[in-house]
Amino acid sequence: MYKNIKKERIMSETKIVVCIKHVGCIYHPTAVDLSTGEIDPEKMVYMPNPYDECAVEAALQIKEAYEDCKISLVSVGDTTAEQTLRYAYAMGGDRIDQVIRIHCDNYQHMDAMKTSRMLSNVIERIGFDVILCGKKALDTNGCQVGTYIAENLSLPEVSSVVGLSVFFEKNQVVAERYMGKGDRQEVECILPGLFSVEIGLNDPRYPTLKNRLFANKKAIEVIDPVAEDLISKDTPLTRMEKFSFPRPKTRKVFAPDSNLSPLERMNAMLSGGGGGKKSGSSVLEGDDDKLAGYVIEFLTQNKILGTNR
Amino acid sequence: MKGILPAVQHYNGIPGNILLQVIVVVAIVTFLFILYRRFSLLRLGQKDPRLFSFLDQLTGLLTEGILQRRQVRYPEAGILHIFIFWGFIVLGLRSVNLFAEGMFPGFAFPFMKGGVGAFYNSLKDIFEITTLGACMGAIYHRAFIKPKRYEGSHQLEAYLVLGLISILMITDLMYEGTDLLLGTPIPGVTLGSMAISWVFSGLAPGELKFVHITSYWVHILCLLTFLNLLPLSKHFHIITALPNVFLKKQVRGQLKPANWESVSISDLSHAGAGSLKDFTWKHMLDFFSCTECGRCTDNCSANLVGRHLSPKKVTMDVRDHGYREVPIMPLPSSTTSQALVGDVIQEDDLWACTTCGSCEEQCPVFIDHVDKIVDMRRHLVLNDSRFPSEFKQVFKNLEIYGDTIGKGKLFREDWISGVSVKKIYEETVPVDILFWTGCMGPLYDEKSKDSLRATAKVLNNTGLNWGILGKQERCCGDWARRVGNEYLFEQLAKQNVEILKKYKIQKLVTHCPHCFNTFKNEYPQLGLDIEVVHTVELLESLLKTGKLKIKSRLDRNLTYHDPCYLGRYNSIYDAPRKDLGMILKQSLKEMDRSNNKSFCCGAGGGNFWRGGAAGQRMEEVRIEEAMVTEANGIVTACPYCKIMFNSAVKEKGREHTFSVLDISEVVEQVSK
Repeated sequence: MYKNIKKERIMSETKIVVCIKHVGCIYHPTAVDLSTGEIDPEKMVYMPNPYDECAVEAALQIKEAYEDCKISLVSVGDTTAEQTLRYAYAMGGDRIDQVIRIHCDNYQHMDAMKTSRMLSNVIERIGFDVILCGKKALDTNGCQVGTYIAENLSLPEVSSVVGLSVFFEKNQVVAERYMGKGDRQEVECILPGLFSVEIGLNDPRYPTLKNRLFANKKAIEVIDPVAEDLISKDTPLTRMEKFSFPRPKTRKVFAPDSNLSPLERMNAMLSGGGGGKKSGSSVLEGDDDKLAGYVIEFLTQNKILGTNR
Repeated sequence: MKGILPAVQHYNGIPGNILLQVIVVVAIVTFLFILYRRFSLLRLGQKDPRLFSFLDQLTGLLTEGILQRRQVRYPEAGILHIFIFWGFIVLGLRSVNLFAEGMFPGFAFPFMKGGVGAFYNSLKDIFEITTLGACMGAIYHRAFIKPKRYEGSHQLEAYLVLGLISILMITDLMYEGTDLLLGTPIPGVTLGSMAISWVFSGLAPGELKFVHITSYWVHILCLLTFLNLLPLSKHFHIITALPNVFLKKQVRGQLKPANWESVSISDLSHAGAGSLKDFTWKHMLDFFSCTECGRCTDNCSANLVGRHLSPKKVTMDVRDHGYREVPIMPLPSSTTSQALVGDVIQEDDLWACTTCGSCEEQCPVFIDHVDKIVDMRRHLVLNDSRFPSEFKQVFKNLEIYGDTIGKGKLFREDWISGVSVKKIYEETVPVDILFWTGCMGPLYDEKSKDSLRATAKVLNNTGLNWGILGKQERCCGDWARRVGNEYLFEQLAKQNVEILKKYKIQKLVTHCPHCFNTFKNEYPQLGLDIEVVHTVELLESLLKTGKLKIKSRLDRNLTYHDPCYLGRYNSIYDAPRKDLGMILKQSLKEMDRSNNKSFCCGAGGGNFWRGGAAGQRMEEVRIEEAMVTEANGIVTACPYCKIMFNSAVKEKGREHTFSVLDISEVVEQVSK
């Protein structure tokens, strides 16, 4: 339906909307009270969803190429979610034009359909050419909201994006999708469209001091979904019934290899693994030049290097 | 009154005194102009309050400046320098006298009559000979011994100046010696002049007069050349070093705030040193004062393991950059477009610094190297968001979890097993002492927790009323501050100050020297005023007063490693040694590099979290030093050092024969 839109684009009217979630993550194994299903707030930490951070970074990179376009950030959440919005705003500072919070008190337990309804209503009001969001939220692991928004707005969606090139003049986006196991797909998409991004898309920038201070003072627009009739009246279609902890694992509990340096141990701990499978791997030896040679050889053989990108 | 004065001679019909007056005026005007240009560079700098206690600063000036205490740490060069320095002080009067004599014939200082004059003449003569000797020694030292620390310094400048000083000494001796021969009585025992007069005794009076007058003029011209050369070369330190020593830092462990003029980082639009004018005026004075002696680089832990960083080069490069930006003669083409960080200073060099403070400890003129490095890091982190990629996760950990490791606050209480520990938020009665565990102790690994448990047992044995904050603790912010993230430091510090005030804590005992330094020296800037001690100090007082009783002395062969933030930054060298002295049977083995020369474990200044540093591993170098002493264990008082050494010992495959212990673990073994 969008095929014939290829009109002359007025860049100042071009809009990028980024959806962000303030996620609450459990860091302690006994955080959830199994009898009541309640989470001990002491055992939770809140942070910006890392997938959404990549979406913000992607938006900022588009803005660096097309200076006149406008970026809006939208989030559903209570007042604490402003922390995340401020962090995301601080990533770009005054390059981000609009920050909106859709007020919602118990957004953590809200069903994805409802959230996406609110978001798509607001996004429609803002206007959009590119909608960016994270592939999934770290806390619920739902992967739904992006798809629902695309459906609500009748947009094409490209999911699990690990490469993104926007050509506003051609009204087109070339996106690279991650298909698992290292396979990739290149997808061409006509604008407007929704892109849900994967964590490997980019390396989100760390806010500078100037932008942090900007962000602390930034006025965030708050939309009350009830007053503005954005919320769908129908009862949620899904509801959480029960929460259970992972079954005790049979595999050996990972202890950092004490032969590693503290940094390597730290990295191993942060990645949460025991260093991966050992089979089929070999240790490369030689001086730096030689080692770099091996790596380049490997990369070209596996067509990671030397392609047209 | 001299017999023959150069001043009353005529040169091509010009009276000598007039000629000299003109030369002196020209030289001094040039000198003042150069000084003015240098001063305009200094005035570019930011505010930096350096006057705090006149008496203390004067004492510092006397011991470190006039008595040159730090010079003797390098005996050869140090003693030579002391001779030259004292030569300058004594001979200053003589030079003024020579100029006055030349410009105003018949001039003499009124106090230089009789005994005083004779004494001064004798003294002057001795110092001329010693200074000359010292110059020769220094030339020999540079040319033949060639210490590695002079690499990259301006060697030609050094030879030129040493040559000039030697000429000054020789010409003055010749001037006096020929004067003696020409029949002027010189009061005092002037051995040097007498020796010269013996050399020239064969000359005819006309020739003597020629030598006499020539040596006067050579002396005067050399001195004026020398004077103008000073602000143009590394020998500017002759003028600026003493003020620099007088204006040294008040609190050694306190990092310079992002800006002295603002209370909070939120008042600043940019922070850190991204260009020359972001340094403070004192930093500019530091640049002027650098003698390029290379003691900093010679002791730099990073440099010694083969990293490219050299504190001397950093100071020299920024100084040369400054001289290019504010040249003596501003030419239209002279403005450069070099960026301070990136072009002048390599980014990688900035991150290689472990902030061990060894450079500052050794610098004879008290240059603040670490402040500048951290200021440039601040620029990278706060303005440009450029830093080693590993740091981003740690920044986020600090923001989200409140600790560097990213485990979460409840894990801060995980180490409490098998010991009874009061948690301050559960108690109704306030505790006397708050024990601050830090991040590394409770969160890193079991060995780190062991040292905390040991401390807890020892404290329980003494019956002290103490407690911990547990889950209400946050990282003290040392890590964030040292890598330049002042914003994050301020956030964390404010939370900590608030909670300490909430519980009305009066005395804080810290497990980690980094926390200790931060609480003791940096939190007062944020309005926290409490007593802060490190565990080693508490243990010392407990052992001394007998509150902590020991079963029997421990028979172990150990060596002690001085953590940077305990030793160099806070001068706590004796307390841990006394602790160990009171509980060990054998005397403590000392490593070659100990006390203020202690080597860094490699974890400080953000380097714990940074991979890919060039060169050897610092912790391994240090462990090798410890093993050379034939001790079978190393004691330290810092959780970072313990982690680093543990990994180094494992790397060497010596974990069963060589132990890495926290001092509290040693004490715990004997306490009852």
